[in-house]
Amino acid sequence: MNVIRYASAVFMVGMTVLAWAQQPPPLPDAVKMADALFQRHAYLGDGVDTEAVDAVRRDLREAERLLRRNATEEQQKQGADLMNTASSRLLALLQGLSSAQVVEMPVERTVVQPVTTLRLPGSSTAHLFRVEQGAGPARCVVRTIDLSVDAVAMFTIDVKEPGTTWVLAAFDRVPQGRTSLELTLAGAGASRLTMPIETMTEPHGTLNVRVLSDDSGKPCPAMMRMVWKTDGSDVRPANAVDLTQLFDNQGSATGLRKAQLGGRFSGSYWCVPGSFSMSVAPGEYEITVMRGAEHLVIHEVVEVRPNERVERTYQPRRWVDMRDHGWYSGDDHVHTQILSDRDARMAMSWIQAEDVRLANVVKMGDIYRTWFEQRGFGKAYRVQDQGYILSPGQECPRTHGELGHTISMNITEMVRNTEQYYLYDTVFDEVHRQGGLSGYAHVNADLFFVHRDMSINIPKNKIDFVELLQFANLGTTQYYDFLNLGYKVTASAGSDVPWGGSVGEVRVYAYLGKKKFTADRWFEAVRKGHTFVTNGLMLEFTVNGALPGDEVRVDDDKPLRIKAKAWGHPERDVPAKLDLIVHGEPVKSVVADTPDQAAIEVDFTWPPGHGFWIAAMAEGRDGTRAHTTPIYVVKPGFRFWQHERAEELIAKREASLAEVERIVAEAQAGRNSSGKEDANRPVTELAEQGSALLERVEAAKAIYADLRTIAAQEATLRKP
Amino acid sequence: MSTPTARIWSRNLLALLVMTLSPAFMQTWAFAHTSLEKYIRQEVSVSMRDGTLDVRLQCVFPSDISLTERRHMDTNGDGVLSSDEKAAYLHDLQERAEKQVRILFNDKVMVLIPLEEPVLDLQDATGVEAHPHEIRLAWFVRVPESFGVGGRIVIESEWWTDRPLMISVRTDVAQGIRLKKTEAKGLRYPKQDEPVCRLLEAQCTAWSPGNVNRERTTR
Repeated sequence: MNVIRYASAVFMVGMTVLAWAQQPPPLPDAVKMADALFQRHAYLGDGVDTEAVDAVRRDLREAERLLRRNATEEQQKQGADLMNTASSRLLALLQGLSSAQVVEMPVERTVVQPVTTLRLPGSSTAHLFRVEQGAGPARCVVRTIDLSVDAVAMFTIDVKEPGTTWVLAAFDRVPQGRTSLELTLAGAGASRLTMPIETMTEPHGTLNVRVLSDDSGKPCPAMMRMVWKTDGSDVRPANAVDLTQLFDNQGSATGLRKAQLGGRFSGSYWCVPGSFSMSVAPGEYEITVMRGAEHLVIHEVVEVRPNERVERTYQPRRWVDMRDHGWYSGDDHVHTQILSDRDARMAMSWIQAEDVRLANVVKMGDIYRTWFEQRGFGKAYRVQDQGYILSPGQECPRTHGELGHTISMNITEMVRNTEQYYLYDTVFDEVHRQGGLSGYAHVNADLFFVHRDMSINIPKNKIDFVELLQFANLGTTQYYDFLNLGYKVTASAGSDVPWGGSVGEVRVYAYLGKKKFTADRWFEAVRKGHTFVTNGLMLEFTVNGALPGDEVRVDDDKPLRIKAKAWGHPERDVPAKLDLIVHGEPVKSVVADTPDQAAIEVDFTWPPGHGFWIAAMAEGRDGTRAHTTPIYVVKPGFRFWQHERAEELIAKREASLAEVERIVAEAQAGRNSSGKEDANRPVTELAEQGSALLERVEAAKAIYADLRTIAAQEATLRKP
Repeated sequence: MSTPTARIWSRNLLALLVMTLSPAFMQTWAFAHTSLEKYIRQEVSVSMRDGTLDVRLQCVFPSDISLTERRHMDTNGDGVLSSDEKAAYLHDLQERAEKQVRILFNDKVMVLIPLEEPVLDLQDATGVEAHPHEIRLAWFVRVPESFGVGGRIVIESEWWTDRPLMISVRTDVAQGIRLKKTEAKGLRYPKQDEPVCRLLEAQCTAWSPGNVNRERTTR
């Protein structure tokens, strides 16, 4: 008997849930209507609070999700309740819209209404109809009609159910001037209401825009976004640079570049090389103009009226000119093809728009092939214009499952020998012979097992720099491990466009002081380690007057004078915190007193002890980061390392070397790094080059063994 | 009654079928020494305001994977990606996402609610061709009342985890909330025994209780 009762109860609950789930929604297609109103057609809701529409659409979507999933009885009930209340709120919003046109459906016959004239604000618009068809519940219908696709100008929208149907008919790409459309509302049975519609777009206006440099007052490139506020659509500036052609079908291969910036400035921008004039639909345009990290961003809403010409001149103001402080910006990782003057002009426009003084434009290779071809390398192939420089470099060798990616700057010819592809030192040596700089890419995220080759070649002093900041991500784990072993490595940054968002979204600043900016001097500053990396905030940092990358030799215990400053601008980003890092740990942290505090400064003394490395790191209110190359405090007879962790750090490096030995052994056994049989070129070449690579591993091991000995010797000396 | 030869054949065929369909085989094939140009880029961004956390996921497909996906979209094989075909592809994606993308607040799985219709951006090549494309999806989640400083947010995904992934993460700040990324793996290789990829692990480092919609979070 109990079984029957239990089964009945389960059955009843099940039926209730089923009933809720199968119940017709109180306002069918309410989600589509709320989305359309919020995302594109907010102008229909004259005076309606868009936040209220957003709240309704979220509730509707939540309710829909609850009802759609295999939810519990309680969740189903919550979903039904939420759907009811949110639908009522949407209905109230719709009923409050004065722009809605009320139409009565005829009964079992066709009626042709007089011509309705719709004055459209531009080539895209929507019209809201409140269609009455006897008594019954309310529902929504959203239909988008793209007139560039639908060549025929007759459209039918079904409104078969009795009651009130809210029809949002959206028209995209409507021709200018007068267009005759025929919209038929197909009601129940034979009821038809045909509405000849004459769309009249407002005559276009003309928008003339020019951007001036804050330095010269002359027209200059800029990054720009234009949004037609009427429907929130992005408008491509007439002369936007077609960067796609430079990208070799790689990465995010489009001219609309997504800025990987914090909060307010995230979004997509076009590179505009100079002044432009274009015919635009009348209405308000939200224009955003950016010129890289050192400029304030201009936001302006511009109204363009029919047949009127609007002239706008924008001059993004510098909040800082780092050249006045002796620092010049660069991006070590820019992939663009440069095979012609036209290519060069496009790439130059981009770096000028982002105000990046020097771009290391890298041809990319792997063991099979190369991408992003260049006309040539060396000084003859540098492109210079108004204090901006494109300098050809390379990202090669690049191995993905083995040793990581390398970057080289200021080379005179591409260095690529696939028969020695895994012997990265051969490339580093040749690059240095050419007068260039060698480094590792993607160290911030330890991509592609780069720690393995770092373990081989950093102790041999073959490396100048590593990428510490990329894709808005500052990653210090690997960097600190090598610094903590007492190796000097310079901090650098690269956007890795077209995988990254835009040139200079992360940047490396090099210190030239009062010297005139040239590519050679910039590279020399990087070689000396006079750098910091940032995606927003600026940093200055000295120890006894020495710069990042310098060595401060101390013979006594006199405290060192440490000064650091992180600063920004309240309209961009301001520092929330400034840390002084010794051996990877903050020894001094200062937090901003107020949210809009433009700068944090520290000035303190610190004992030299047995030596150390010290760097400044800042974090911005919007999540931006900045980090200097360390200053190395060296006391005779001691390494500047984190002595107490030496054994642990050496063991880490040896573990990395063991990984190299393992992948070589796998390759020589005909297997790839995941242990599977593989006869592809990376495996056969690694097998072939394995013994030479292992010789290098042995040499690195010997260096680490020496470090152990040094650690033991220093242990005695370091005792108090 | 089958002959011994037929039995051997059928056994071999079965073995071949099992091997071909096994995830291990598929993953090994995809993983082995692949180049950067075969990585799918996944960017996840989270922003928190008014008691809700918005999650946006952008996947950028490199040329050759894009070509495979475009062929998949082109269900009638005419080389043209019609609106219906694109809509069907996006619908499938949304369905898959509901099963394969998860968010956890302090280890408790929360319901991800679609915030916008998914977007397919074929970039500058709209046909079935080898050119990168991207998809964008957005969800939101109601922040639990118990969440605050020290709280942990994790986003997991099983999307294309049989392919190498490049993962980047962005956390936006709003109204006194700070989410510190505690894990951004960067690169992920397919793993036979780990179909789940942790896209984001973030910790809340500042919190204003006024941000939580108390009424809503009781749900």
